[in-house]
Amino acid sequence: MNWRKGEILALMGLNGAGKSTLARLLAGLIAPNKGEIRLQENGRILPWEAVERWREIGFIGQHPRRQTIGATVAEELGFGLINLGMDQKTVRYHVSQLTREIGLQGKENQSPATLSGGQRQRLVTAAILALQPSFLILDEALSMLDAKAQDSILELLRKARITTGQLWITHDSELARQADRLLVLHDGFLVDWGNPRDAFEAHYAELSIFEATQQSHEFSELKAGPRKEDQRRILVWEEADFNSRLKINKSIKPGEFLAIVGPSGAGKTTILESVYGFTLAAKGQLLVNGEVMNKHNSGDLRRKMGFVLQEAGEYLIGRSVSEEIFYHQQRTVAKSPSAEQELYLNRYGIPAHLARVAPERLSGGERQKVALAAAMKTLPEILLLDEPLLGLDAKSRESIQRLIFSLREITILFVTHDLRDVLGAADRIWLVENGEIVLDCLVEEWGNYRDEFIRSGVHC
Amino acid sequence: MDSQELYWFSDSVLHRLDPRLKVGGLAILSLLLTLTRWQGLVLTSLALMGLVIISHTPLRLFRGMTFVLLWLGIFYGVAAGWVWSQSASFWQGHWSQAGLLQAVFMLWRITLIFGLTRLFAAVTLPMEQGLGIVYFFAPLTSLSTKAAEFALLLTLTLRFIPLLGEEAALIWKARMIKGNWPTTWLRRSWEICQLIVPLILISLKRAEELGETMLARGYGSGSFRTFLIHERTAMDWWGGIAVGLWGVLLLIWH
Repeated sequence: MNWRKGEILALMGLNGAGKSTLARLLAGLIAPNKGEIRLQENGRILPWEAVERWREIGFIGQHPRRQTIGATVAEELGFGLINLGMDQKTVRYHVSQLTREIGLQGKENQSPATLSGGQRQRLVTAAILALQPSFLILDEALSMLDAKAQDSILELLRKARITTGQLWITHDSELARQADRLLVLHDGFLVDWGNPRDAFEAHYAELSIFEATQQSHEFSELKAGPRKEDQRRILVWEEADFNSRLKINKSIKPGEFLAIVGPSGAGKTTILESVYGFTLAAKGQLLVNGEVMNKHNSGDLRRKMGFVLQEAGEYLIGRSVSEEIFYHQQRTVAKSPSAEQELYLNRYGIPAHLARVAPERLSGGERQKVALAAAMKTLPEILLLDEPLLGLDAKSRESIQRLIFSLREITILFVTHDLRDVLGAADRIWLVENGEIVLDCLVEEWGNYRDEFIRSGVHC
Repeated sequence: MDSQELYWFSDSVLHRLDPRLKVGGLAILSLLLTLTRWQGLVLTSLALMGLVIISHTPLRLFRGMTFVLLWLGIFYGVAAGWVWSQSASFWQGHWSQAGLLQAVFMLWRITLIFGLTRLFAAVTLPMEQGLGIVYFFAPLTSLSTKAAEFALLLTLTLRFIPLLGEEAALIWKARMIKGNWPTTWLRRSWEICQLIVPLILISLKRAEELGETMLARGYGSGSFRTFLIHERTAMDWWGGIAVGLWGVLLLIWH
């Protein structure tokens, strides 16, 4: 493959296809076993080992929280500049300019931990761009952000376009369509590197996240929904206040599928954590099946719930897939799963040969499936899902969506910042902003509130 | 939110002072307090009270010191105040007024050092503390690159601890989600021990990510330099003069 300055490449492929490996090779974090990477500069060809790679290639990863190194915003921006050999005065001048450009003026002495996810990713992007790299790699750098935060990063990238070649690794087909060329990776091989439109035609099934209209039609057949005559409430928040992070006065019917959307840091995860009893109401109360949740009964109430944490695949604690899913059921590690266990694994699209494999050896999609299978093992009445499709390719998303949407008689609370993920299956939508539910509507009515969702940074 | 761990949120003069001045001031004054006589202790006690008022920190922040000081008081009281002659046994001794007075002075000094340190932690964010400490290592980097490494190690540790705390909380949640949390302490301890392996694995992963991020910003071994955006204000100069004067008086009364 080749890559020119000023050119934007998108890179797509299934989970485990080798996208991150390619990015790490280019960034010089790993070396190729065969072949070589060369940099051509003013007609001269330089071997990759001879190049100061950090000056030529900037690398931005997915998670804003894990990429900041500075104790303060100013140090974050100044760290690379100091390493470039600039004196303190020049660095200080650049830092004050950069903070103004990215809208963080006055926050120079603040810790990056106090910023929102979007602000943090913007800070990291600006810190890398300040080094004026010839090329920039974004390894799913926008996937955890809401639409507003994504736009602000894209604005920075557009400004840097003339002087920087960019590689966007993504699962988002809309984003990939904006690139000059689309590279498609399959099982470690580049199978396409042409025009995005042609690539999508040739590899549509692998690359495209289901279109919203098609999704609605297909998944609405799977949808069970709450029983209309049932007036009971499985979850009731009565003027509940969770340490000012969330204020809520709502209820949910049994069997209802609730989509919870909103910008990053709005309080979506806190709603799920309140249901699971990880956080208790400081004022007001939460009733689960008519019982007030408190620190004494939260353990009992949890038994009827399943919870898939955000990035659940990162936090698998079992030594093997089998142990992760059948935690506590296996006193000793069996050589192979029982017929019953095998059937259960198959239902979640996990091949039986993976049963004894350590979770860290699985791909992102496989790990997410394992987390979902583990959460469903106890047949919960209430299923809490915190961005379960995050970082997954189109195929894995579709299979996990099918799994979730086919669940019947289960109350589902599904947190996402992409409304398109749930439009075909949800009964109701809550829009959360600044710790409050600012909109509660039936899914059929969502179009009437489209502007509000867009203004809030929700993809729809 | 009023406090975060030891830090007390406020916008007082002390909160806004240059962290280098606060770190340097605390180190110098603590050292001189071990030398000074009663005049210096009186001056420091009055100054500490004044600083507590200026910093808007409530007295309850200092309550945690009481228990430790009580035990130290008993220890020094017995160690310095109870004396016995060379030929006699320990239980044949008696209380010495001079020894007790010495213990009182020792406890007074320690109380002041503890008080100043607690106040420093209440008005200085952990990150600023790290940067302030690292600043004093900066001149040593010209002697040895090890000083730069040590300074970086210190700041990275301060940055890594909160991240590890977050990861530990997530692993804990992942375990709670599995259910069947044991009721006996023995089994609970065993369950917690089993979480150590995933925590170590994730810590190594995060450490590797941090290393790669630093490499991507051009960090090379031994090249770390402190960078503080804080420009010295008139208040910092006055603060420096006050600390200097305070230190000189402690030295005069040694």
